[in-house]
Amino acid sequence: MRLLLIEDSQRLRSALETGLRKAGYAVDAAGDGRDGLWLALENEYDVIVLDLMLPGLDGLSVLRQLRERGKATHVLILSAKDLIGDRVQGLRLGADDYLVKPFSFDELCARLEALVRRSYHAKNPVLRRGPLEINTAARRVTCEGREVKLTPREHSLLEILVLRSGEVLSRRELWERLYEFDREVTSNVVDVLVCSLRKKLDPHQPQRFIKTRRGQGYLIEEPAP
Amino acid sequence: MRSLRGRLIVWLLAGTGLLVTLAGVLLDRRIGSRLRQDFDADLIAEARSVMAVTEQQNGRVELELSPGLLPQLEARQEPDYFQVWLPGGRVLARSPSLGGRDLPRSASPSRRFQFAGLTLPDGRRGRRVEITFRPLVEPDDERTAGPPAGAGSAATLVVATGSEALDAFLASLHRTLALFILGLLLGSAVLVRIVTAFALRPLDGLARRLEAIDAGSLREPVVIAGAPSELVPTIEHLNGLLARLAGSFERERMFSANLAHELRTPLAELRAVTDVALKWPDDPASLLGALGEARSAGLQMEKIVVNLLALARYDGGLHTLHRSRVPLRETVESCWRAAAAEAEGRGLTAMLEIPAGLTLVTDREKLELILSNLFANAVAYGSPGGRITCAATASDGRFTLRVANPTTELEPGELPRVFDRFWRRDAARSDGRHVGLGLSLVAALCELLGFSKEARLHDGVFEIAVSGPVGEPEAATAIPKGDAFLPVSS
Repeated sequence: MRLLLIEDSQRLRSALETGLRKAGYAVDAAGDGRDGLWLALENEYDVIVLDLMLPGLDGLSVLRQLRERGKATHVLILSAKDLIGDRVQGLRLGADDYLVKPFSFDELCARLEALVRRSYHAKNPVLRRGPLEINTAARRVTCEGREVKLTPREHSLLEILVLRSGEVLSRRELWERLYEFDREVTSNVVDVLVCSLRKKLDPHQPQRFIKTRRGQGYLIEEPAP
Repeated sequence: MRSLRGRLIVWLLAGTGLLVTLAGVLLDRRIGSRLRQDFDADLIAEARSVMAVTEQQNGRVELELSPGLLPQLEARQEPDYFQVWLPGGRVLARSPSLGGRDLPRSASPSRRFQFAGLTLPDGRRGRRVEITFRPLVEPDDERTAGPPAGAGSAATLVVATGSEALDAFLASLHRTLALFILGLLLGSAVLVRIVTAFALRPLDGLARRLEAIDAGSLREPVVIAGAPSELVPTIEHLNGLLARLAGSFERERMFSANLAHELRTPLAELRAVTDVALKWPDDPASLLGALGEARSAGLQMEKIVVNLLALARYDGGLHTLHRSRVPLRETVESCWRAAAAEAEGRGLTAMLEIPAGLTLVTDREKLELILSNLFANAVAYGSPGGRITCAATASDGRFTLRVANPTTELEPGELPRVFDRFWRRDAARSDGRHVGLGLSLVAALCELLGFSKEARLHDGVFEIAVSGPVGEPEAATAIPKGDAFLPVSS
């Protein structure tokens, strides 16, 4: 899952980048409103975490411009402004959630997970595809009752594929969802990641869950009705 | 009575009542007096008629009253009375109405008409006039008898008439006037009440408007339609007060909001840093980095709290001034050295122009705090590559210290706010190294030390001037000429 973090406090931005990456998110970060707006318009993110008091362009203006330009990306406002009026204004301008500073990192993660689920129209944090069970809240995966240890990025890859079951996702699209904007990655990094995930899910039958569509990408098929 | 309306009604009614009563009494007296004068004039005329028919002939005094001459003396009902006495108390004549009775007369005869009240022989109240006069002397008698009769021939006349009609009329006049005054007072009361209600309507409107004012409507000026000119200055002062109050509230709100933000941000940083570190505790490098970040956030909060406490102490008078002789030049140089490294980092140079012998008698520590904050502000907000100047002058026992830096960010309209607590031009308040309390501290310290401060912006140069008494006259004059300035560049 790919996030955009727009926060002017360098210390907070750095801590959140570190934490969210460790939690499995690909995180792009911007320290002012103009850069943040540019990144948000240029890339596809699952969620944008947006501070309100930003240099260059304030958070509400960023949000307004995003919505005016048709960007429907979920936005979570993260602000020190705690008045009801501030929250109402932010939500009415098109934000999807509002979290007041200081906040619990776990709460932020939970809210981000909820927004990601909403992106894929999923309400239950536990996703099931046949013998696969993915608990997105606990970040725990089991296959036929056996716990599968995954890295955060492998977990994110599996989550995307399950949430978009039945859709063929191109390498490019997967790369965009899994890696940061400025991260240099090799061309086959997605293939390597898929290969690793397949082996962990079923070492004996790697292609059991994740199918390859040659020249198109990867998919997890929807369970038969 | 504390009500303005009540006071007006009472005083207006009391005043009107007094005036109307006085006017009534005067009118009553005047009319009564005039009627009595007319009454007495009639009585005198009647007495003169009697006197005219009283003659002295051949040494004898006679009174010959023709029938019908004075019909009131002959009336059967409510007649008038007269009686004439000759010297020695002998009665010369009396009106037929008296029968054989006597009218009262005074013990001291007078040649002037004397009036007095009496009860007439028929029981009515009346009024009498009395005069002692010399009867007319017939001419023939004068020729034959020689000179007029002596004192012994004087006669005393008393004429009396009933005064009940006059008394009744005067009583009626009293009653009429009293009722008129009472009616006038009642009418005045109603009128005064209506007039005061009408006249005080703007005050009622003002009271209602003031009642409706709350913290959210302080910016709405009080406008009273048709306000009288006496009320206009009050309303203007009130609107000025409300505007100042709104400004204070706004500053208070901004202060609270800014304080909350200044504290929430490092708190959020602290919490995020520690939450992330505790969630993945297996990475020693991350833990160490988190500790460093947490310490920085703690130091930032400490800076805010320390500055706020200092401001609170200065505001609350919880401070002690330790005055001593402070050489300004050395103190400025010392304070500048603390800021020089950061200034160099930003490409700023400095020019310090402080007279070598200028010594202030003040609190050294607090003066250093003023200088440090002024320099920190100049370094933080001076345009990179520019020059910061610090110059001092002294004359007439006063000094002025100016710290100036070039800037492209400040607007003239923002000058009044530069000393406000937590005010920062950057609404995002991104730079965590500054919290917007430095110049507030300068302002509080200046007030404490008896200095004045002023912020100016001209030609892209922001300048803060601090001035005040040197402290000792001799110190102010001890400024050597010549090479008195020490330019310092960094």
